[in-house]
Amino acid sequence: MTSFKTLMQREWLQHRFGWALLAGVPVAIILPLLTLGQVNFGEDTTAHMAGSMPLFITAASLAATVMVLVGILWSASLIQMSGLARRDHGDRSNEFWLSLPTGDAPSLAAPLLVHLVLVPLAAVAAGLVAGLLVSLVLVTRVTGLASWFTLPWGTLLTAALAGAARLAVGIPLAMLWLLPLIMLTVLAGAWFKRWAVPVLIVAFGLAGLLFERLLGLPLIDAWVSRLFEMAGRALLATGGHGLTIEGQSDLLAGLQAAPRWVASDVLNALAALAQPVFGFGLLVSAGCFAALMWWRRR
Amino acid sequence: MPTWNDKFPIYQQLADVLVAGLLDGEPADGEAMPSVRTLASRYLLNPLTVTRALQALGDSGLLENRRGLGHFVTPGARERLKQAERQRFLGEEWPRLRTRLRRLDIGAEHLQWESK
Amino acid sequence: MSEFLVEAVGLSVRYGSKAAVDDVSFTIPKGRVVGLLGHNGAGKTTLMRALVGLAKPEGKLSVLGLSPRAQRQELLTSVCYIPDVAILPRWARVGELITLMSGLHPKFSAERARALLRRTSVGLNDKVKTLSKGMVVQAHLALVAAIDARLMVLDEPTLGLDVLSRKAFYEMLIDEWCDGERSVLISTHQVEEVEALLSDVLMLNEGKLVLSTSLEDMDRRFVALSHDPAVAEQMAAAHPLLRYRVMGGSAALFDGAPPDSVLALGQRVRPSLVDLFVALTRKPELDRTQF
Repeated sequence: MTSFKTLMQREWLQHRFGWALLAGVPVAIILPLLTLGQVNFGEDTTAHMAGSMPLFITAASLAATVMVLVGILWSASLIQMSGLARRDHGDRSNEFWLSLPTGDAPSLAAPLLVHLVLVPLAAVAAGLVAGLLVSLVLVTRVTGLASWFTLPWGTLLTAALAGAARLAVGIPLAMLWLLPLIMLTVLAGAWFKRWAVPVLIVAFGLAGLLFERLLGLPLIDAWVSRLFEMAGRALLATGGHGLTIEGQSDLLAGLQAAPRWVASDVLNALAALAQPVFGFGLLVSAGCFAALMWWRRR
Repeated sequence: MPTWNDKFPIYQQLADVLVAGLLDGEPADGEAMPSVRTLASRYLLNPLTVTRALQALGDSGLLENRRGLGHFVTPGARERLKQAERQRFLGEEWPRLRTRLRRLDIGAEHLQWESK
Repeated sequence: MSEFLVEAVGLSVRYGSKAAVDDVSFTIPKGRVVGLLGHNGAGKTTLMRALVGLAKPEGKLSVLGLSPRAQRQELLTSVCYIPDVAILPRWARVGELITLMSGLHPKFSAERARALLRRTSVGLNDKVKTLSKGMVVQAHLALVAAIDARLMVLDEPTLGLDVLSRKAFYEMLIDEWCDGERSVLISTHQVEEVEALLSDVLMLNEGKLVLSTSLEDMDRRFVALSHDPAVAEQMAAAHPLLRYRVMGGSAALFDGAPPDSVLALGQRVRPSLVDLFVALTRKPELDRTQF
């Protein structure tokens, strides 16, 4: 167990500066812009929200900031992880790691866990904090500092935490849905290095054509798009039955209803796991993982 | 760190160095020799080489190996060494030196006894 | 449980059709410092990699009673390997490497690593990518020496180190590793410097083992005679392994004692490892026999 934790600690020590930059720079750019630049929410929104402007701004800031930071850090992680197989080959430090008595499985699993799950989750937390700052600036500019303090923080924070909890469940689930595609990319990277993604795209294209010819079914296309669809659902399962917010009265009510809504949404997302395509995806991922372990030992 | 010449096996050269020390009373009769590891560290030699040197000294009767305690200088070793060295000097080195001094016309009055 | 730390019988390592290591057999008992000598390309690195499970061997090879290839992870807790190139992660600080190794290696002692580093010019806060080649070697040596291993396999560990650092390494070798239980296999070009530290030697030439002996046996077996140039012809007639120049004359190296008549012609001197190395690894105009 210590060694798995240490392997995760390695990721922290190697990438903490990069993560801080990826999270910090956008915020460092946006805050001054918001402080000094033009802030205009449009007449319609202002009309609809009227007295609830501060609430609307804060809720929107939190949501937007979280989405931006999660988007940035998650994309960075996906890019990083696609090169996992050849990661330390540049400075030959893979031989250093191979000289230590850690198993192949933990050595591969730890970075995947850290980059694909823990980092986006941390981005959620960072996004909430940054979002509060953003909301402070915006609310102060639009309706004055006092209105920020008089916000219904109880409801807001509960809703925010509920949203965070939803993402805390949704992000790992989305990753599990996309895992076969990710693992195939990592595996391709072992042999094709930088050309992993192009090679994979070509391979998928060819396989798709093949299946169409043989079976008349666009299997590959269907499979890939299904995975992406399910990953999206993992994050937000309700599809059309979501919250609709028309005006200011809806807003407060919506926020108050957030925890309950999150709970049912999570159940929907979890229920969606009970599909054969999910199990198949896990099998493919496990196969890729085993192949990577074999490759590492070679 | 003394450099080892290529004439004699290294263990023998170490033995000679240790013997020179014994002549100076380092260590004195009855005292313990430094441990194998200490000597190995001091002269940057493999401990097995050091052991061989100590064994050679033991074979010459200069050291006795007390199991578990180490090598100790045999009582009277220093005296015996001194006698042996004196014999060697008087029998071999001195005649050669004397010939050389004669060749250079150096008499007793030219030699400085008080030195160091 | 075998009394040898390493046992190889008929060991070969092939890359394609070429045998980098060719039918090599030797043993390494505990408490030894074994020098692995050979020219570039003689197979030293390949042999070492086979011992730590990084190369696929044919024949029998057992390290600490384990098969290096099949039981690598178990083997790595008690065997350390430093290859001849720098492999420390460039992004890390030395102190961070100590932290990571503490968590990843059960027999690593962080305290010992820090103590050993204090003897070098490398600081805990230094980033590996800012260190010179020699300092990276020193850092890696300190890290590896802090592992309570039973076998150390070092490929040219003194390459890139200046005289003082080499001396510090030899001191560390003697102080920390020569306790009679551990063995070290060290390949090096600096034969003269390291000769005094070795207890055994393995000499490779083009993949084949041309000499496998303890230094003690080497002293007894090989006879070097320094002689007047005048008797050079008689010396040559006795078929020495090698004839070479020494300070003040010539010398001849024999495997086994030459006849007494030849012995009388010269003065017996120590067969140095360098001379023996040259004698046994020369290009084959001479008849190359295995020992």
